[in-house]
Amino acid sequence: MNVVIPGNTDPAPSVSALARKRLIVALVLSAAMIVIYFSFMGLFAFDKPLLGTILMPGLSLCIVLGPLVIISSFALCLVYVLWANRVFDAGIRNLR
Amino acid sequence: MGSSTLSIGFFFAFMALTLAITYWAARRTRTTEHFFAAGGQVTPWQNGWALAGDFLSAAALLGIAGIVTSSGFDGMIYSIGWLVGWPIILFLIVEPLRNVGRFTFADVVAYRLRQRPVRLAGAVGTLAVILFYLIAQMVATGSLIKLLFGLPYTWSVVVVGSVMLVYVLFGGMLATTWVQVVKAALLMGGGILLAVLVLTHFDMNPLKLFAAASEKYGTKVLQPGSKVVSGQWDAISLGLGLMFGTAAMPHVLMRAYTVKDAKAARLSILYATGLIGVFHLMVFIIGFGAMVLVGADAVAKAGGGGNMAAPLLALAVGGNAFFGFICAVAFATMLAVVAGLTLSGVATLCHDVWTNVIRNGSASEAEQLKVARVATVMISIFAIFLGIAFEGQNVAFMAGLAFSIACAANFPSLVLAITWRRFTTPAAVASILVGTLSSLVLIYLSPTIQVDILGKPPAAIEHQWWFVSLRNPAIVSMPLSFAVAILLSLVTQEKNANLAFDEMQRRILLGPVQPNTSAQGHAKSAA
Repeated sequence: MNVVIPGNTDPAPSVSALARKRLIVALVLSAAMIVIYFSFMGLFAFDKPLLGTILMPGLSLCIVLGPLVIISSFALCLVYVLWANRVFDAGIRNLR
Repeated sequence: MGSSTLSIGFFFAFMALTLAITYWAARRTRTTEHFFAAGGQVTPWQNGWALAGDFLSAAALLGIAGIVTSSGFDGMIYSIGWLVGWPIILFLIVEPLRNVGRFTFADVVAYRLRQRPVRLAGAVGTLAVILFYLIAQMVATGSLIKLLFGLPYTWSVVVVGSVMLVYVLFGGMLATTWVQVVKAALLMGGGILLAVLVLTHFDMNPLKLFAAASEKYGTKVLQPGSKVVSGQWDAISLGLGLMFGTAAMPHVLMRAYTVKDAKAARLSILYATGLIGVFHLMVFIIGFGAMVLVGADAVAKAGGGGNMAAPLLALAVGGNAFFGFICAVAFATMLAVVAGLTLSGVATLCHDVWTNVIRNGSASEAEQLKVARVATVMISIFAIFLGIAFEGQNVAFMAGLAFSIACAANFPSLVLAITWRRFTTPAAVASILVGTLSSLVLIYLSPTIQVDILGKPPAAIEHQWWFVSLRNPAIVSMPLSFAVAILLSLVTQEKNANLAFDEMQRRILLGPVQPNTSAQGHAKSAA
């Protein structure tokens, strides 16, 4: 049974190159998110005293790191979107 | 009580607005494309707000604020877990989903594979997630409305179920989107206002708030404890379930189809991540505010398992009007979430099960719309019935179970289908079923069911051979699902799936070749 590849029958090396590039960026950023989050959860699970260090009145290490995880999630999203809007979308326009 | 009249007033204003939107949307809902995807006409900003409205449940405001009020920092574990899945959606899932699929996540998993078995398995995974999440939401909704408005439980459930039915049945995705946008705006507005009003008592300095809390209740409120999440590996397992479960929640993923292209989908996830992140930071302030300004004991005494923290805080810092407003916002929140859940269940029943499995991909538009509407009525009645049946039961574990199943059943097959050439039909089916079943079995054998629900003494079951000490199954079920998928892919061959990988890669980048090309890959479905 044939698979229809509209317009183009060869796997188009530039398509697979761009696809690979996107996958690498996506995997690196995902890995960064996973490392950040599970470092935090690892501390939460295995070293509560460290995470509970009081830095000054009203501030403990976890109250610094928790919001930092939230902020870094957004920052990583922003990095990806900026990359995708500039580099990746330009690559797609070239393919078309 | 004056505040109750006010909150009912706010509530009716919200109903009037959303029903007017539904009336407007109903006249624009003529095709399945409209019913399930709002015709792809939603803008990235609207979709970002709608995603936030879809995802932020009453638990995100009332629940987390309550946990923070009673246990301090630990409440934030949930806030963080519910956010870190969003970048994963953005990096790995949303663009392929938008470009390859049409209405459901099974569109993407089944794209290169044999349609019927994969879609059926996908429907099992999706409906299990939706069923458990919907029960958790309905029961929470019933008891919260009883608490906030004094309406009897059964009536609360019937009202929520019926209003949700009206939104989805007549207005489809367009009405649901706007209900979610309005709700998210109210929730963000209410949350930020509440947090700012709290901070005015502390020179706008959160550190002074935290210092006041630790003066009143000891520094332990600023430190991680073990009341909210017990067990070391359980914490990691919970984290896995929250992160990857969020990344594979069917009602969230479905919103990728409401925008015009992959770029718009990408932007809407960025906006949603920002909105949800800001909201969770506000809830943290609100929880500590309630701890200091209302008092943990007063919140506990108000009932509802701590859920009254935010409304009582609103009463304390903003008076009756603000209390009524926050109650109405909580109500709107529940409605928007159950409407989104129902719609994604309907999409699965209609698009995956009816159109692609029963009718083999050849149902007319009119027939699909009819089936969609019948399915909407069925799911709504089912949700109302289950909501009433589970009154007073401890169903908090069901939300966690929904995330665990999404993480173990949906996430592995979705990611492998997008990224791995060798992925095959038996692997996809087995991975989804193993993920669903292992989550169910593990949670049944854990203290969550055995001790909390069945009431067995821990000492009596701890030494049974079948006992599972983990309350959150994801750390076992997700790797198991991946392992099954990888092993079966390696021992089975699927030539068509392998060949179609290049075409799918092309489509992931460039989108459907013609705008109205069916996403179901009919060329491959005959295999």
